[in-house]
Amino acid sequence: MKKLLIAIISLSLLMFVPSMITANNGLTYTTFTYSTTQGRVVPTQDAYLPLNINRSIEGLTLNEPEDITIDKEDNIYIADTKNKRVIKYSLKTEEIRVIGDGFLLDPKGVHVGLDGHLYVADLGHKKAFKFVYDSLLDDYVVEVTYEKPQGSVYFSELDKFEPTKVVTDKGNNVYLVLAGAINGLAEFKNNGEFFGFFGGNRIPNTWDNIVKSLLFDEEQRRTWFKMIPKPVYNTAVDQNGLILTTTKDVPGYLKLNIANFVYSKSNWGFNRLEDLFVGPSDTIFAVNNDGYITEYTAEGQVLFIFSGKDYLSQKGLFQSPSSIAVDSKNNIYVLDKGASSLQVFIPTQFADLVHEAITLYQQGRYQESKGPWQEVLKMNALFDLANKGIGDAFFAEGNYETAMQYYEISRHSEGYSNAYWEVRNEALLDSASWIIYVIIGLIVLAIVNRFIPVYRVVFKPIKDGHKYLKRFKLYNELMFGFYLLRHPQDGYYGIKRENKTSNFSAFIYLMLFFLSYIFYGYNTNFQFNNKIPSEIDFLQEIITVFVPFFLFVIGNYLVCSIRDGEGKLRDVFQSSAYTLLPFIIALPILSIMSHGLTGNEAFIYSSLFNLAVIVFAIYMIVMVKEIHFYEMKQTLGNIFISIFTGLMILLMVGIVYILLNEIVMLFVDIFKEVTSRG
Amino acid sequence: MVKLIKYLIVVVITVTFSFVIVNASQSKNTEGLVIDLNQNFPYIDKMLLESSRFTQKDDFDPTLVNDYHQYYQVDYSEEEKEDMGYELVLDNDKLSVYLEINSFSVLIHNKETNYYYSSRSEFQSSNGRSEGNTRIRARHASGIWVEYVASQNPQRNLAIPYALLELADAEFATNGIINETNLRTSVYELVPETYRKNKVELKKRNQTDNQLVIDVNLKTIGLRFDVSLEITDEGMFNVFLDQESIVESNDAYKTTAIYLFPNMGAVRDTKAPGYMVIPDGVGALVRFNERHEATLQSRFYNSDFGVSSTTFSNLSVPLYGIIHEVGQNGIYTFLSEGAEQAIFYANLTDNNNYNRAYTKYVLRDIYWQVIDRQNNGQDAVLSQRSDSNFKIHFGFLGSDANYVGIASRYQSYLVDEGILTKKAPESDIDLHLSFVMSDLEPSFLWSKRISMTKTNDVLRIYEELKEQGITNQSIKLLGWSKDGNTNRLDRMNFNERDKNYDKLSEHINADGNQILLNNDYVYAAESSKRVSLISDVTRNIAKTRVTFEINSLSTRRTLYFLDPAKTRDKLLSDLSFYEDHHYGLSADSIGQSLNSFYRKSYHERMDTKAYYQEALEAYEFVSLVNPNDYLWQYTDQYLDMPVLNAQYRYYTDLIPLIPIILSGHVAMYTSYLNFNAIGEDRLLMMVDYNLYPNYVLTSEDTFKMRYTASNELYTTHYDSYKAEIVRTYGFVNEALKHVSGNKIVSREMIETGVSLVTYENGVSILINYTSNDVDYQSITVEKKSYEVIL
Repeated sequence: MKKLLIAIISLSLLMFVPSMITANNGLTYTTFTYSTTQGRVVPTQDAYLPLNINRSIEGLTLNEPEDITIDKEDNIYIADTKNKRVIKYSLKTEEIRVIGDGFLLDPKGVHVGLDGHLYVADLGHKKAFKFVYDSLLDDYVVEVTYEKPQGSVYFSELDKFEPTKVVTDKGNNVYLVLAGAINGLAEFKNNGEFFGFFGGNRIPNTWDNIVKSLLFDEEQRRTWFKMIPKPVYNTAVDQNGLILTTTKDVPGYLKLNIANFVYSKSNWGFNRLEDLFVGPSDTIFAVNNDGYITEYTAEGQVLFIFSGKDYLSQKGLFQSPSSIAVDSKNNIYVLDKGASSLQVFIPTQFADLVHEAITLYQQGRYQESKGPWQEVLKMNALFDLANKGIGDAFFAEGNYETAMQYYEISRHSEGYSNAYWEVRNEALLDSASWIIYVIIGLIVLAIVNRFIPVYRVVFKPIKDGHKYLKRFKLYNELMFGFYLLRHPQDGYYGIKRENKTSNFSAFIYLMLFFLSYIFYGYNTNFQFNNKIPSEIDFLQEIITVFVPFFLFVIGNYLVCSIRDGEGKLRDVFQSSAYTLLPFIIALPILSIMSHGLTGNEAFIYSSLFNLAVIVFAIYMIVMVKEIHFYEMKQTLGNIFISIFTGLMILLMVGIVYILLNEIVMLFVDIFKEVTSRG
Repeated sequence: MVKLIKYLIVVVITVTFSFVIVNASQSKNTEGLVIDLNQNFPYIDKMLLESSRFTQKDDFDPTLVNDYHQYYQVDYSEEEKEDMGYELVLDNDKLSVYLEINSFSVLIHNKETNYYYSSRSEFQSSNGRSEGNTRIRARHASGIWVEYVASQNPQRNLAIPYALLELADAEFATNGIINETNLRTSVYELVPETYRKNKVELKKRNQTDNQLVIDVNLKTIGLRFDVSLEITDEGMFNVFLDQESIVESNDAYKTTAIYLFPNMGAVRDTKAPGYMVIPDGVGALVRFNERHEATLQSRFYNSDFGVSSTTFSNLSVPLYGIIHEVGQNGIYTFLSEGAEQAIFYANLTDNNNYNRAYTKYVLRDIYWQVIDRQNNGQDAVLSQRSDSNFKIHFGFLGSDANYVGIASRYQSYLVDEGILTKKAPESDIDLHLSFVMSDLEPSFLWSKRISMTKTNDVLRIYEELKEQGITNQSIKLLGWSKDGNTNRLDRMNFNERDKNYDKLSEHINADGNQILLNNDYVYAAESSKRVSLISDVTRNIAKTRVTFEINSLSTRRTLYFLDPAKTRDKLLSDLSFYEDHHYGLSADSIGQSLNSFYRKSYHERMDTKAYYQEALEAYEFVSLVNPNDYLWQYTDQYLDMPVLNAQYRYYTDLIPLIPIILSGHVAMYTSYLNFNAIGEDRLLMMVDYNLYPNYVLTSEDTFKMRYTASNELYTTHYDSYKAEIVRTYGFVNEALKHVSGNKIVSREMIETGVSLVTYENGVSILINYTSNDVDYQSITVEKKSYEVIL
């Protein structure tokens, strides 16, 4: 009763709120999927229904079971850990059998190999066993034992050997997860001979770690920074015999090939996966310690995320799940160690459709998969994988325009690019005659121009306009940017000494830059742009553009004014704004160009972009050098110090803000306490 | 030149795109692609039908029934009653009530079935062991429990129930074990003179044949109140606590809750061939087939955020029951006053041997007074006490002792009270269609309106479906205002010309059909232009603003709970808009949320309820989502009837309790069938529960609104649903048109997965959820299908 109360109170944050879709299928949870197009988790049709909670199987009560597996014949094996036994239960015949009773001490992992034999990892024995069915005895007997190799270079006397999970691959090699072992899975030949380590994690190549590796030796790194790879936590094997691993505090899973390289990995995942299992459609099922079940395609794309944490014994949720397994009909079996129970989930029509489509798709039967995908799409028009699958089907049919449409909805840039290439190619070929006419026309025009000055007539209004506008100061100031682009040294001198520009014109430049930046963000084709227009936060964009700019301007002015720089604040501001011109020109061009390019020509796009960046960087250096009249070495130094100063200003503002906030909140708290006690 | 190519490409793409879109959408209609999915294992099908997602067969072990008849029915002789101090206080043709005043216990004799119900936990020690220490035994034997806290330092965990006998310091004469020397009455026997009248004193007053008042004086804690007991000619036993009679004389304590007859009709262990009926969601049963060892604790009418109390269960009716023996005896209980203040408990052999269903009347809520940002604080109670009375009705079942009996009897009560009137269609069933007209997509500086359906599209679709023979349609518009479909409370302006909307409503009203505008007057998003976060948003008992962080894996939004008075004001001021344009009201949330709130002083849920009732009464046609029972009077359409309950581990059956109560009176609709993932089972369930189809549609492709908040509705395209709508409507209508306007009089499970529902006009529908054809009498029902027996 008290526990219940506590649970209810602690739930006060998890509130019921009417959502647009009310629970429709009688489930205690919502089903989600990860949308690659939106880069976030989104709701989808329910994929699995919870069937029931079993606290015992055919009269055998479970006690903190930790592992479950299902073999090809749909027999369930449960490591009933605290009862020190393995339960085998046939789904077909409802036959039940206890294995290893009285022998096993702490069975934590079970697995059935392709050879049909049972493998058990026993932490109590600190060994793993291969059980073989003996038809004469009508019982399972231990045939091979996998234990810590003696005198091996891999293991010192002090190293622990604590097997918790076991799997076997196609060659019936045995892989043991050893608790806390940083080298990875211990690989044995089937006869018990130790082979080596497999699938260990590596230290990630972050900047932080690279610096540390340069400065310290391994011993120091290990002891001082705990720079050791994280131990593999659990493992599974897929239909092709590839090994999957998951590690605590690392999102998702890794699928490794035989050469011990990462073959594919999950595109999204929870941090603390408890267990993995590969189902009959080669989809990967994972359960995390909060009770969320995730199903992935063989390539690691999220299909469904569902279930969750159980507070009040609701069906379909888990207190502390320990293991997951799937039978040949994609029914999911999950052990809950906390509740000592087994829950069964069955696939809905939607999940069946998705599985069917995926199976066809993975076999390369794109056209055949189109039907199921369309059904899936009918049930969820925003299901990325279905849009991509249909796109692929249309592509395979040669219907490139339609394919493009579906690729665009699913934001699948590779497919889109290929389809677009075909479409564009066709368009180019179709319009070949037009192209030739136009070229001939231009040549004719050029020749005619020789005799009659056509160009002069055409460009006359522009020239006149230019002449007229030149009377205005602002126009000249704005046009000065182009002069500066051609003659940087002279140009910056002009800003500093000759008042060729004004603060207003500089401000216009800054705004133009902002506009082109925004245009670039909104307009660029999704192949080259991972921003989704509707998710662009306008305020954030303002901050991204203006704050760094002004921090640099102020930082540079402050630094240089104490380091013999000549520039005044207005000089630094104006020249910095004018230096943005390469971007003002390049960004809109890039953005427009992106719509005509495919992935094959991405290099054109990126080289133009890089060009703008390089020009900008060079002009920046020239700018500081000229404005403050520095030597080259001084210039570079001052730029770094300016950036550093900018960061320090930011930090200071942050600290002041936090302190002020604390003071305000202090008064608020005092007020609250006084009013509530008074 | 390059430009030309570009133009060319764009033209080519758009042309092919539009062709493909048109073609693809047309071909989808005709295909109706049916994929033969692999059947699951037969035992999985069986497990599914035997799971708590379905109603189970009433199959009881004959030994259990036999034992129950022999040992587990109350059969005290007159001497035994006298020994225990019972005296006959109320008597009429239907009932006699015996009272033992000291412990406030009653024995109720139902004369019709000659069966006794006790307000004590009977058959104690039948396993040869004592039921526990004095405190626990006192609870088993007392008809009143109270909870109180110290005024100076209230602590939630110290507010436990104190039974009358414990407050009186009474000592039991025996150790609670029945054996050769101890009689079965001895478990209640007290040591003489230990029941201290200076601590607790109960006195009878104003006794008549049908009624008597008991003055309860709990001197220990300075609490005094009157409880009146009454029996009616209909055979009801009513218990009434008038809040005005409550007197608290000891400032050191504050009473927080009172329980009246918590042990009434309690069932020991697994000893009865019956079940408990819980009004969670659509309805749930807990069979006494095992010791469930759990307690369900929940307020009625969902969570009360005003006191930060949340619940997963959705008890929309204050009605529950304990069936002792199906078809023989059972007790049902409902509250006619004070349900807003009550907390329901289903105690299922949790820490003791009994299954009990009872309510706690909360006089004061203990809340967490936050005093700093880290949510530190202390428990607190107000000195203000609830203004609500508390009235419990106990009814006693005979041959109708099952959940259908409870539902029908409650229905008659509601009809008599004038709460339920006939509003359901009389012939063909109704199809409910919601249209997303538009929504807003965030864009550069301002937002972009994505138009998904035009008024003309609605008309076209309406006419198309009418041609297919669906003449009864009700249409609901979402996102009809310029504010889109995101803010929940929208400004009253149409996103097309008023003329278009008027034309639409006229056209549909002319056929006698309803057209509704959807709005939410209870929760609003920050972006809502009609809501002031300062004056419209309410505060909770701790005076902090009530906001809801929706924090699921997919969404992160904050919603605000509007001050109920503002809700009423806005509803009343909008009335003319609905009337001028001839639209009915479809209000989300208002039906299913009931929060207490703070404005100048703390207002309990009763006040909120009154505001909501006042506002909705003004409207002629109201369509509500999952409305609680106090709004049924104003409900013309019951939307989103759930096909679920909270799915607790111990629930054994899903039953259509609410649908049976409302059957024949209010049209009930299932939630959007777009999101049906369980296929035919859902349609069969609609036939079984008398629910009408409901879809949400757009004329445009759904993906167009993928960047709006409406993307939660991820499948809405009419062209993909047209065929399905016609098919589904036909399937459901073929069954329900024979029974529309009629109430359900019985529902039984012929076998696992096969139910037979009978209506008052004599028509029965046989529904087969199994994967095999089933024969019943001379009728064969195909698998996953139904047969109407006229």
